[in-house]
Amino acid sequence: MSQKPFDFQNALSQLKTVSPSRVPAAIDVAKPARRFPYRTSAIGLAAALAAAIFWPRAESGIAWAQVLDTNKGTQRIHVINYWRDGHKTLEWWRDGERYTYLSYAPGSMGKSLFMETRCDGEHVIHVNHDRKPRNGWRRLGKKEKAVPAEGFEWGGALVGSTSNIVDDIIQRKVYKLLDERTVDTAEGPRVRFRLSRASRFTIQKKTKTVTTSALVFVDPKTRLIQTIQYVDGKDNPLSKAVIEYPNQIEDSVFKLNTTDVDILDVDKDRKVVAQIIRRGLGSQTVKGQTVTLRSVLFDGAGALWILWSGNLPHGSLPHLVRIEGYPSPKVVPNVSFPMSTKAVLNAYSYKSFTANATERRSKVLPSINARLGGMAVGMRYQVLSQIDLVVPVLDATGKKKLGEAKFRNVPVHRIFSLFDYREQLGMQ
Amino acid sequence: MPHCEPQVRADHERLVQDHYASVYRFLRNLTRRAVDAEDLAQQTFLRAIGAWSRYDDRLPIRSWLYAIAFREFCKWRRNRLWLPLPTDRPAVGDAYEQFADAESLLNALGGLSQNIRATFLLHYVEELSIVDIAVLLDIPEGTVKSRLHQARHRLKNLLQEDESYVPETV
Repeated sequence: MSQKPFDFQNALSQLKTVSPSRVPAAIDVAKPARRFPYRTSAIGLAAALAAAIFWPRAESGIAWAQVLDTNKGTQRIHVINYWRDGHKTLEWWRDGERYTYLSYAPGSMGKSLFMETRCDGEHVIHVNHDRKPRNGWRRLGKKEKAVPAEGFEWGGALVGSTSNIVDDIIQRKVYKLLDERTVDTAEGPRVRFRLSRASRFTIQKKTKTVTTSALVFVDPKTRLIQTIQYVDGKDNPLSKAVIEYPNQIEDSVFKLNTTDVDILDVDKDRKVVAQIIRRGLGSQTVKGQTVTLRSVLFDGAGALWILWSGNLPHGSLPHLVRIEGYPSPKVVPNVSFPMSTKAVLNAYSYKSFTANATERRSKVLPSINARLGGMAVGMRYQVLSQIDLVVPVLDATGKKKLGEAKFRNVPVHRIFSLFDYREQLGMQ
Repeated sequence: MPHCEPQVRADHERLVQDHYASVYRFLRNLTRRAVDAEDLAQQTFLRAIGAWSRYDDRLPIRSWLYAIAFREFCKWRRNRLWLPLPTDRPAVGDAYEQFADAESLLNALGGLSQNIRATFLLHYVEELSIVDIAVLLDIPEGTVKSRLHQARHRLKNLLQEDESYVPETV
């Protein structure tokens, strides 16, 4: 070892002089040689022998434990999903309690984000990138306290659960093992498992069963899943997942770096919404029927939820709320999301908020000793922070209209999603 | 090699001739073994040639190749996670003295993660800017600076040298 003091600049100069013994022709590059991993040097051979004799065998369970041990007890995984045309559809990371999911907009060729969810272990932030900012209002994302995810089994997911060792996954019996063989790949020898799963789904009252297969490529030493190729019944490729088990994931992966978005703290906002409901926004009595307006919530998807107690709307929505200054809404068949046509706004509701709902779907809120009812209107237009509302007042059957209750200068409260407030709204 | 038009073959040839040495150097300093660096360099150019039609101008070609090279290194390293990595040892004598400082530097960096080592080598040896490194590694510029800071801190601790030996990043 040199006795001279360390010279950083000299060290850099030395590293810059490193050069290959020869530069190959491009044709030679096309055929990479398969080399034995350790050349015959005294040190290399000794190391290889030591590894063979003393290193633990990478049997199932032990290999994953070693991955966890290397990663200090946390599961650390990075997965990219590609569509069959090679573009990214999804990319996600997990590092113990931290995780990030980025999904890409269909048709954007992996260039535009559709949704992102980032959890730094304490809070989860969620942003829907398809929700464009409207009329001077910035896009709304949400933040809430993270729920511990460790040990969560993902059921049908092949990776990301408590074990990514193929033998453990096969034992869960969610997938059926069809065959197993050793194959050569560009990354080296792999064991390829063919797993299949039958999925049933219903479209327009027709139930269909589709069987897809997953070709799972596994490292023969560690038994960890490296790649998954999803194929249809004729082995046509559908999508692919590439899995890495990094030693480290940068903290920045779990932090939001989207800037043009307002983030709503849902944990705090739940208390605000509960207070609004408890106080109410005004009451009116029409022909003996009292309606108390409880909240007007504008969600991130563009639906305006008008909710009240007393005299709840009928499930078929024969009479709709009106928002003064906007076109009259209509119920559009088979549409229950905030889409609206050019001429009208579409109205819909969930069964929880109608008179037909059973106890199983909604419950009485102790703060108001009543159930909440109401409906949504899908808005295309500018939504102000205050609106004038006309709520239909119905008879006991819910079908005949007795009159209207008008509410002026009603404040609109922004939320990310109605389902963040299930408990506050009495939704089961 | 798949059938190529003569012009495309000439482009591939130029790609290899112009950039093989720098890619090899980067990989050699990462792996610390000539034979592994040769294998990985071959794999890098194989992938680059395969992806040639998809190359866009978002990155200079050299940076694009470094990005591919680093990905190949990460895959290679992951497959050897359980095995100790031997390194080439320079011969003792005058030749060794010439590379003693480089050896000390690489030894000091050896305790850092591969991401930090790669960032350090790309900046100080391959002389890429922080912006270029951020793009090719697909990380924020702040992360690049953070990694370089960690590397310098490690060097300072392990080599017990005054921090003035390590130039600050602009």
